[in-house]
Amino acid sequence: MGRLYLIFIVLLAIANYSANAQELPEEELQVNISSYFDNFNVNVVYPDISVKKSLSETTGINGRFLVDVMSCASMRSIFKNVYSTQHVKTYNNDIDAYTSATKNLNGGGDNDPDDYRLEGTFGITHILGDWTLSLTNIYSYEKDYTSNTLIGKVSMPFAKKNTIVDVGLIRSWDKISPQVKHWTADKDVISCDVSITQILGKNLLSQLNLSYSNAQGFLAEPYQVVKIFDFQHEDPAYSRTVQYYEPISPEHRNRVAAGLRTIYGLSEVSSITMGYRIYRDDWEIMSHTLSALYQRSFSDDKIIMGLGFRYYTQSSAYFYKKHYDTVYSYMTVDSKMKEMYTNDIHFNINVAGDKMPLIDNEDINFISSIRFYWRHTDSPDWHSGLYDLYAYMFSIGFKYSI
Amino acid sequence: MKILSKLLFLFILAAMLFSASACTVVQPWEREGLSSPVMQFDRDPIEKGLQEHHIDRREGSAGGNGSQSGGCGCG
Repeated sequence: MGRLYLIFIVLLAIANYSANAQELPEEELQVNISSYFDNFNVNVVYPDISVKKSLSETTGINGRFLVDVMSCASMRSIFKNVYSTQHVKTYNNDIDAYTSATKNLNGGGDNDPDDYRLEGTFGITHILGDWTLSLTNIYSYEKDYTSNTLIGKVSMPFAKKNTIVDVGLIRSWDKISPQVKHWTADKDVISCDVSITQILGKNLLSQLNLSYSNAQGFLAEPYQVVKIFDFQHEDPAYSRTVQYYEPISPEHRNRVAAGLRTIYGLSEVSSITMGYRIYRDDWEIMSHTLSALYQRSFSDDKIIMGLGFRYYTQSSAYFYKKHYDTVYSYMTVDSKMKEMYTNDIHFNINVAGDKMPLIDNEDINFISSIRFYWRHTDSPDWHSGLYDLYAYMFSIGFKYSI
Repeated sequence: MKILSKLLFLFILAAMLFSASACTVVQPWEREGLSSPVMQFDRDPIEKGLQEHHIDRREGSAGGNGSQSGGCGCG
C-alpha cells in the first residue's frame, strides 16, 4: 500500500512539472531517391515516399513506402558442399553472399536488378494532455526475409519543456528462409530506448540516449561460409584441406548502448554538434563512436548546409577467429564481428522552394545529401579478400507542406 | 548482469548531471536561438534512419543514437 502511495505521489509530481500541451508534427509529403554503391560491387537504389496527416487537433497518422532495388552484379559464390552442425547438409549455388540476392546465373557484372525489398510503415500519433503517444508498425518483405516491427513510444515534457523524456519499446519478429536451403529460422528482438533531451542554456542543448536490446533465434548470416583449414594433418600434402561449414552464432544477444550529444549555437545561424557513444554486448563487442556536425543557415534559414564527420572503432566478438582449423561451437566470418575502425564524412543541403529558380514555392523544401564511408577490418573479407570497404551514398528529394 | 549494472550506473550519473543542469530553467521567451533549424538534432529523421540502417549492417553495434530502423536481411 505504501509503495502504491509512493507511485501516486511520483505521478502527481510528474503531472505538476509537465509542460503545456504538445503539437502534432507538420502535415507534409516527402519523396526521396537514395542510393548506395561500394567497392564490393553492391549497388542499391531505394526510392521512398512518406506522408504525415492530422486527423484532428490531437491525432495524426503517418505512412511510408520504400523499395530497395539491389544489383548484386558482383561475384559467383559457388560452394558445392557446405556442411552444417545445426541443419542438414545444404548447397549454396551462385548466391550473392553480400546482398543475399537471387541466383546470379549470368555471372554478375551487369547492372540489372537482382533482388528487391519492400517496406511499409504505418503509424498513429495521439496527444494526451502533455504527453505524446505514438504507435508504429513496420513491415519489410524480401523473398528470403520478412520482418515485422512494432514500436510504441511516449514523449513527456518536464520543467516548462526544458526537459523532454522519450521512452520507446520496440519488438520485432523476423523470419529467415534462405534461398536453396531447406530450412527456415526465426529471430525475435525486443528493445527499449530512453532519450532525455535537456536545454542547458540559451544556445546549448544536450541529449542522452540509452538503449537495451535482446535478440533471440537465428543470429548468423545464412549465406556466408566458414572455411575449415586442416593445418594439423600429418601428411603435408593434405595440409590446408578446406571444408565448408555454415556459420554458427549464439542464439541470444544482449546489447547496451549509451550516447550523449550536444549542440552548441556558435552564432544565430551556425551550430556545432558533438557526440560520443559507447556500446557493449555479451558477444564481447565493445565500440566507441565520436561524431561532429557543423551546420550553417543562409538567407533567413531558407538554405541550410551541414558537414559532418564520424569515427568508429570496435573490438571483435569472442568467437570470431581469423582462421578455423576445426569445427567450433560458434564460427563466423562476418565482417561485423571483426575488429575494425570506420570513418564517415557527409554533407547535406536543404533549399527552400522559393529560393529555387522556376519553382518559387515556399511550401516545397529540397533536400540532398552525399556521404562517403570507409571501413577497415583487421583481417580480409572472407570472400573478396579485401581489408577495406569504400561506400558512397547519395540522396535527393523534397518535402511538400500539405 | 554486469552490463546492466554499468548501464544503470551511467543512467544515474547522467540523470544527476541533467538534474543539476535543469536547476536553471530557460524560459520559453529566451529560446529564440534554440528554435533555429541549425539547433535541431535530426533535421531529417527519415534520411537519418536510412543511413543508420546502412551503418548497422556494416558494424557490430547498434542503438544509443536516438533513431530506429526496421529490421531486414538486406545489404
